[in-house]
Amino acid sequence: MNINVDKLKNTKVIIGIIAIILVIGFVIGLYTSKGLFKSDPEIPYFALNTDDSNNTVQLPATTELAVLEGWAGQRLCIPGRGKFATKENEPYILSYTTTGELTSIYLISTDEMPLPWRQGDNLIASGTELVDYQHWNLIIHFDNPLSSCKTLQSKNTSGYCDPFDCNLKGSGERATPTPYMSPTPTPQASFIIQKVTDNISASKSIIVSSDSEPDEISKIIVDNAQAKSKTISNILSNLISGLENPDYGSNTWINNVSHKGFKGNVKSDLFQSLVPDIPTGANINLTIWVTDDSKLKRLQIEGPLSDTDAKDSIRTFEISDSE
Amino acid sequence: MLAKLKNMQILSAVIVGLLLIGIAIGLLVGIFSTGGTEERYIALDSGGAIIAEGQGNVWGPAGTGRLTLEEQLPSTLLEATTNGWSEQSACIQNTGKIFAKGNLPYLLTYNTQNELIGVYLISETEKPLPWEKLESLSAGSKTIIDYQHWSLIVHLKNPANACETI
Repeated sequence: MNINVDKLKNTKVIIGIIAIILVIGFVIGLYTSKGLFKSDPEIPYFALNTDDSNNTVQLPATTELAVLEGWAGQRLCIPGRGKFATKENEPYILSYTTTGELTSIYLISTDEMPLPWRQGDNLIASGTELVDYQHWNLIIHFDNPLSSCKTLQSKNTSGYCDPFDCNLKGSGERATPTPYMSPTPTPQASFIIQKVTDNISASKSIIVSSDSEPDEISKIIVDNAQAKSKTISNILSNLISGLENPDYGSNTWINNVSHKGFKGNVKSDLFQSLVPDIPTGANINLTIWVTDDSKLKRLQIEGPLSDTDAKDSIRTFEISDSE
Repeated sequence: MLAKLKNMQILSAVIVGLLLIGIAIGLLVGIFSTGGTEERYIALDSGGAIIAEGQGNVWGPAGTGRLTLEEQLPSTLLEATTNGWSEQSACIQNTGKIFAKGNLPYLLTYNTQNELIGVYLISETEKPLPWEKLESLSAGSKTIIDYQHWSLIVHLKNPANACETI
């Protein structure tokens, strides 16, 4: 092998070669150390009153353990809280991440407690009332609650089944695998809008309330809506069916229940009976949120409804069925 | 000098030498960088679901429009002392070192590695199991809580090793 010594006379070339060899060595060393000194991950341990008494309670650190110990968990993950799990007669509720790790404990007191405990009337999660009485509560998070509902993308999901969904309780065996079913295609937004309109038309009595800060226009709409309570379902169904270019919008949580969002434009003329002085022919940005069974729950109007309104006006109205 | 590099043996020795130096540095960096303990996120909070409000990243309990009630706890002893927590006891077997701050209705416990390992909740009113009734809380000759109370310790790590030195 011939070495071109002339090239090696160049200091920059020499330094470059030395640097490359050192970097290669450094990378080898770094990876070797990570492999050699890799410590086993610490097994999570959470307990209440771990002492010599009989009151020691070790908390189930995973959903698998929770199910085996008789905890009943929820399927839906609540943002910032996780999946609540309850057990009869326990004065606390546990919550787990979507990946099945214990993430917090919700302590309950029926007596008044000082801060940081806070009073709550009830605890509703995913439509289920977990605590149906006035109580004081304190949550201790064991991890950042904002990552409670992280997706399972980072986990090997093949064959993964959330124990709260898998009905493993008591059997000690994995449930029979569910046969593969092709995913249900997402329906067109216009299809859902049609169902929402049908549901409004079928409603006998609808109540409209303003959730935003009271302002003149909101009051006018609500007052007019109440005055026209007999025809409000017609007005609303005309509004929703008049939604042009409907599309899926962002979902939202209303009373701890997830609602689908849809957005589109409506002609201002459709608001005429609610806001008599609205300019005609204008396009109004409308967003609605509906329940899983396509019932209108919230309606939001973006933009001015009169000349005196600010351009960024947003009005939100809650729709409820009096039945 | 460079002429010596024409000799394959010398050249190989130089390359291997440099490689070994690189590997040694990499090993040392790897060993020392894995030595630190990962900081945990422990916080107190209350209420039901939290939702993201329309604009920005403001979080609050659903429907209330309030800002988050979450309060992060000092996960290390250094953090605790700089935030006004004061040591109440030396390391107690199965509990750890107890820290208090003002009149807060809870104490914090740390292990000898200075990690937060527990939250000692205090209630002056009667509580069901697993809360425990205590006449007072003392460590050695020092009385930390001098009145009857119900306590619940939420352990974040196994306290059996709280006082062990590595």
